[in-house]
Amino acid sequence: MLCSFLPQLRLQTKKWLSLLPTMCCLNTITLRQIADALSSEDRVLVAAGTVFGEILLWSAAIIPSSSSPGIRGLKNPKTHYRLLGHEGSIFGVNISPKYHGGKYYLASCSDDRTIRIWDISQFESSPPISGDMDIKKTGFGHELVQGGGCVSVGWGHSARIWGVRFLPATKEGWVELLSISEDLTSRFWTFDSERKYARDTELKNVATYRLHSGKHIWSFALDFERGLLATGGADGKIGLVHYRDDQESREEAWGMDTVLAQIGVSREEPGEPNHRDKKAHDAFKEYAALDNDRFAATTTLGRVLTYTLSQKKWSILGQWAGLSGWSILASWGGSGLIALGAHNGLVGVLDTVSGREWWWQSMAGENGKVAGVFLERAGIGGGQNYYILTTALSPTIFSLHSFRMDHSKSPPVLIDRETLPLQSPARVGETKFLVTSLAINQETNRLFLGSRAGSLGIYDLSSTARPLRAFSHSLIHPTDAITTILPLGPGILTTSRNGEYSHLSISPPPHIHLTKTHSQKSPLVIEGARQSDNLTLWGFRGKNFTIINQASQHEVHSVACGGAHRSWAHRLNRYFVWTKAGKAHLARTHPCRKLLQSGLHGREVKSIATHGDLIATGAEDTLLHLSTLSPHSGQLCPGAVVGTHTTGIHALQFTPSGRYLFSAGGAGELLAWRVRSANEIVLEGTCEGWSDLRVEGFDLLPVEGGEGEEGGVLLVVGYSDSTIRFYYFSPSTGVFSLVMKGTYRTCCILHIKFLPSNDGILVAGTDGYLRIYPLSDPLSLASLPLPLPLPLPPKTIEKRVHQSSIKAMRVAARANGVYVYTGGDDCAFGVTRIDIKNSVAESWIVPRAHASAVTAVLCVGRHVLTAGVDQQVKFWNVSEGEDGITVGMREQRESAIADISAAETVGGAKVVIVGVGVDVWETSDGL
Amino acid sequence: MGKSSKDKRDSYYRLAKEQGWRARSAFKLLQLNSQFNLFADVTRVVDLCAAPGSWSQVLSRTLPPTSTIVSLDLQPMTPLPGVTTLQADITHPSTLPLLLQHLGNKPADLVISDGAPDVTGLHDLDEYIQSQLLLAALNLATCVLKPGGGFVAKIFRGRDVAIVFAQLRCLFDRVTCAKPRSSRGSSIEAFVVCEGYSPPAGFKPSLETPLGLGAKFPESRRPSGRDKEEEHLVDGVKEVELREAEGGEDSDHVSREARYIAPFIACGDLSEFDSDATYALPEVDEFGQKWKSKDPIQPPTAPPYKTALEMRRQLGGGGSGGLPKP
Repeated sequence: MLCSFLPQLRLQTKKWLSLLPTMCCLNTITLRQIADALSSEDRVLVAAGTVFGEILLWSAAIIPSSSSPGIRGLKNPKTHYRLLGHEGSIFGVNISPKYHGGKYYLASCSDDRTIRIWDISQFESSPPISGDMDIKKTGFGHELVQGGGCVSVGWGHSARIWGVRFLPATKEGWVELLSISEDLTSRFWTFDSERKYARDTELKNVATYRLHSGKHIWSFALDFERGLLATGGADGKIGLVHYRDDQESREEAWGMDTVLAQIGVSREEPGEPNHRDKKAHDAFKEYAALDNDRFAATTTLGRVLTYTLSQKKWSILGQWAGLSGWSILASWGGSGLIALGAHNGLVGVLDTVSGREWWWQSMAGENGKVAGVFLERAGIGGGQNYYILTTALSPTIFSLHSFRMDHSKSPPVLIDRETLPLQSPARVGETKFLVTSLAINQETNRLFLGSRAGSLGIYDLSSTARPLRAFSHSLIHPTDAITTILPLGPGILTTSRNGEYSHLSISPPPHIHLTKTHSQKSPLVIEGARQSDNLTLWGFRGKNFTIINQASQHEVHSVACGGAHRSWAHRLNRYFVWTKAGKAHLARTHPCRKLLQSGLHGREVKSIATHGDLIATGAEDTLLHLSTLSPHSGQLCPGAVVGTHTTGIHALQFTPSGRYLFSAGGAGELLAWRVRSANEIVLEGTCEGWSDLRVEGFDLLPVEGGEGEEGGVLLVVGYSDSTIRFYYFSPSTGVFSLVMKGTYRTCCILHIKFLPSNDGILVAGTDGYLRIYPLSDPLSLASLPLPLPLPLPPKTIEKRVHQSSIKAMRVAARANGVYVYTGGDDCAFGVTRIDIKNSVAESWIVPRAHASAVTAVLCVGRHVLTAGVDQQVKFWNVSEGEDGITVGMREQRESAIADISAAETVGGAKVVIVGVGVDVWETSDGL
Repeated sequence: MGKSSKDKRDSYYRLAKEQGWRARSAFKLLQLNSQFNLFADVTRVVDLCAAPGSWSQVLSRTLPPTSTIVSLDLQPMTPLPGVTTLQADITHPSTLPLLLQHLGNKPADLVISDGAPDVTGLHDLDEYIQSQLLLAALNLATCVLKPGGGFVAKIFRGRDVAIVFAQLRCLFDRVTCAKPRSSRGSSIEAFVVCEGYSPPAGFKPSLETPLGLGAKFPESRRPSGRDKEEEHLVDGVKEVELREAEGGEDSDHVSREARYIAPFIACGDLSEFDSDATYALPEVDEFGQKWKSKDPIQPPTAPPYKTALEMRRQLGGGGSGGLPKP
């Protein structure tokens, strides 16, 4: 927009000519037609920021176009302000609508991570600034400020701020703004314009939304009427925020005094003369969500309270001596029932509707505190079974209490209560099994317990043994608490405070075996999860309670609650209640954010591997994405996203069976993954790494008859210090063993491949050479017992093909030799024929095949596809004769993908090209 | 990662510190010169976008002391022996008389520019801004270059680089795209080396109506499309005779007319350091002392967000937004 507008301005406003080229093209120009009261001519007011941190505000009269609506030119220019203060380039400016009292403001955002508000209300009466400003004053370190005052500064973004926009006035005196940034957040800001130019009045950051991943929010749109914000990120996602609904549902908070006053009890403990003088204060202890409109709370003096959100009303259910000083509270959501654990060993069920209560001993002979209360229920309607698992402080036996509610009575009564003793899964001498989660699958009659140390115990409820013993006990989430267990079909999903969640499949009896089919890290200390169409996770992240949609990886809600160490309760999509500084706080968590379009990587994609329709991509955002190609729409359907790598992922490859995927990149990282589907991926092994090295290329060979059903994998890996290492990966142990090692030269290795007949490896690097090292029997490397790695045998063939880096390489076995197709940094496309038996190589080159580095080469049938950073995709006919080869370009197309890094075939006939984004191409006419 | 990690991963960074260059980019000009012999018979040179001054340093150390070297930048630059440093805007009309005055009112033999913008990450935009910067440098070069003079500038080899090559070929006899070994292979950066300045008859350079903005490029006298130029092939490979496109679709025929793919040449010997490779650090320095990582010659300039970083630190890392870093 700006680029097309600039020449026109230059012609008409000669005096500013010198300033315009120093304006970074990023700077937004806001055009606003204003009626000039003095001259009554239509003028355009223009604000523009420069790369040197200045903002110029100027206006000019419009010369209307005689034939069509629009502007023919500008005349009578006037510079009103030159606003100085930013310490970095200006990336966005916006002129406000007319606010209360005839005020106009200008907002600017900059490389210096600030948003500044300038009062420009008086621009028409300000003395014009000379157009012949001394250009030598450009650059940073301004001495003078001319006109316009900076009235407010906003801090908060942690990277460059790309855009800023005023919202229409809603409340008198309040000015609201939106900003978008490289730091992935969009933020709303306010300031009180009625304040009299207090210096450094800070813009208040009132709301922050993070729906994108990787880097950058580039674009946004606002619908003021409906209160909607849409944002577009470099990750290709479009996020939508109902910002008005979200920001209007403000937090509520109560001190205990307020609550007690509302329900009409004195805060002093009645009838306890010893405490009369000390004025024992009551305080919030525990919370439980009852339903969408009500939650319950216990207090340190043994009160049980409820709060009704719609009526904004606190009520008291009663006060129990057994709950004084110690209470555990839990609820079966939607039932109206709560369970209570007391300090005298009693467990109680309270009907919050009728007020009826039932108490019993949690365990025979146990009078100490009930340390834990965990609830489950199974079945539906009147046949529903309620379960309470109680633990004591030093537990070797847990008690599973079950009952039903007889709804034929009014009010309903508790019936059929039974207690079943459970032996702790931990044996003598093992770490105590401190229960943190419970689940019961009624169909399989299994009970699952999760522990604080991350282990899982499974019981068979149909067993008649007393106490019931766990038939399985295994460590699932090493060293941190399992917070949720969700039965999912025949398997389960577990979440942990270490941020990990896993899918586990359980093989049928008699040989019960747990298999982790998927495991993924999230940025949360996960406290809970729900699986519906999507998996939703919630927990703590820094000082916030955050809810994440795991499928689309976006933040659904985030509440600044102060951190994890507090009492809290949560009802998904409704509310979050917590204690902070002695007060009970409530925040609504209605879903006000969603993704209109899912995306992929938020930074440059550097690698791709495919197996059938399954696509794995690795990028500079350090993430590994799995997706599938929809055969109908040609769209990528997002699957799992794993973030185990600590730097960019530069190379990826599936084993021929597709069961294993290997990924490599910066810091010398090389990881092995077991892949069952686009949604099921588990880390199986990590190779040794080196922080100074990168892996740009590797290749693999499956080794049949290795240990276990899968067989092992032999890998050859090239590093940036020119070393070549062979590793044998054993799936049964997850261990990479170094079996051969050598050094190529001193240059960085970019590609490395086993030859089609497995009798050697082909290496290419930044020096433009192809080199072959023979291997007599590479598979034997897998079975050798090796005290030391073998040395790499001497090279047999060396052939320089390109002037510099070989950016892309493919190998194909043809009738008359092995053909190597290469793309060079030297813009050339190379074809090399290698006669391995006679150690002869011959090369042909298409110079200037692309206008830039050729970064992707792919064999598609008998044809070769190349793509480069010039965003051209070319399709070549290559005919290999005995005397030489001929090449003809068959087709050439332009790709929308910048910085193309690789191409791969997927689902048979389609080609995926990756770079800054992903292109899917269909090859036509049965090639 | 320790202080020496960058020394291992970037040998030119280490060498620049050890040889006293202000930036590693000095090696790029040295390697370009070894390939193109840029400084032969050159006495008057203009260095545009010169700060922090590593290219001017190369000129200062390489050219005879009688040479005239004028360096321009918007930012102030530490002085160098034998180099006139001017703080000026290369697009401003008043810069031209100032520059000519310092050149003794004689045309320059060579204009060089290593200028690049702060990249945003939006590739189209970054490539566009880089080409605008190159055009601004070219425009000033046309105002001061003698016929037959040379022009060297940084270029981003992106989507429309062939348009820039075609534009440059309107004004120079020979346009080559060069990539020194000291420029990272993973970077989009390369250098355009233009030799034999020969503007078409009637072409009037001007800063008032710069090329590309306001003024059109002159018609090229050179034949369009591919012509028989020397290809820089490595020894022992054969150039393929390209068969004409076999009735395949050319989606964008018209705009290809305005494009030209310049011949490519990689500069710097293969025995020199590879900027993409990781090297073991030397055990002893040139004086036989135990090798130690050196500090850069010029400390990096304070980033514009320095104040923001300080504020964030005071707030305890979380910042006022309370979100962890992405």
